[in-house]
Amino acid sequence: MKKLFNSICLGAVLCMAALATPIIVGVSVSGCAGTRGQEQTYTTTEALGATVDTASQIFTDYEVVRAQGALGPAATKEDLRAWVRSDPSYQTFTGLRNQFNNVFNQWCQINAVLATQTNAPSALADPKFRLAAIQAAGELTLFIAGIVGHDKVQVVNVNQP
Amino acid sequence: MTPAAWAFIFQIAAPLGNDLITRLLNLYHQDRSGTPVTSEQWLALGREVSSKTADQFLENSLNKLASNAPAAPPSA
Repeated sequence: MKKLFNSICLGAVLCMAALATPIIVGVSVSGCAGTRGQEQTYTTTEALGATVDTASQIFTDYEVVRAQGALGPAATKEDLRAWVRSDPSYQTFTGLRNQFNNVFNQWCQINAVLATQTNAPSALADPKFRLAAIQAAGELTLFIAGIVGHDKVQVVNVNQP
Repeated sequence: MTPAAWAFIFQIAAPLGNDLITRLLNLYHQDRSGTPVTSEQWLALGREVSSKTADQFLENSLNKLASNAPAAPPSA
């Protein structure tokens, strides 16, 4: 089991290392003609060191900028929201985020059970319990790699003349 | 919870990122200081983190865009 767990973790680390190329994600939000709004730039490695929530926020920021690029600066909030929701990438992200939410919740439930054990290693030794924890860990790491993988995009700079 | 159990938890939690690691460390220090982390604390953490949906992040992004947009020029 320990070898399996180590293999999963190593695989996840290698996967994330491969994704952690120095690619800049530039998100530029433009206001009215000739102006530039807030610009946030994240590197993939920064996103990896951040939380799953930060990676999620990076992704939706990027999606909104894409929507604005597709619809133009006159697009309303409702137009942008509809565009993003119809985008297959966002739909994939929604599935991944839901998966993370479920898995993280399960993991906390596992820990809640551990908290009731006066001798926790005995619970960890239980094959079913340990397998569930390992599975939860593997799914978490793969999900994060999948989310951050979306950072491998071109620099997006929407700056309408 | 024993140190071995915590070590296992942090092994699994490693990819979660700095903020979540910090929260887990707080629970660890609480536990080490003699106040065991309760099942309810774990469940509350799970509920809080996992309650954030994709659409909530999207709304944050849309609200940021709206707040960054320059004000409309006054009409003549």
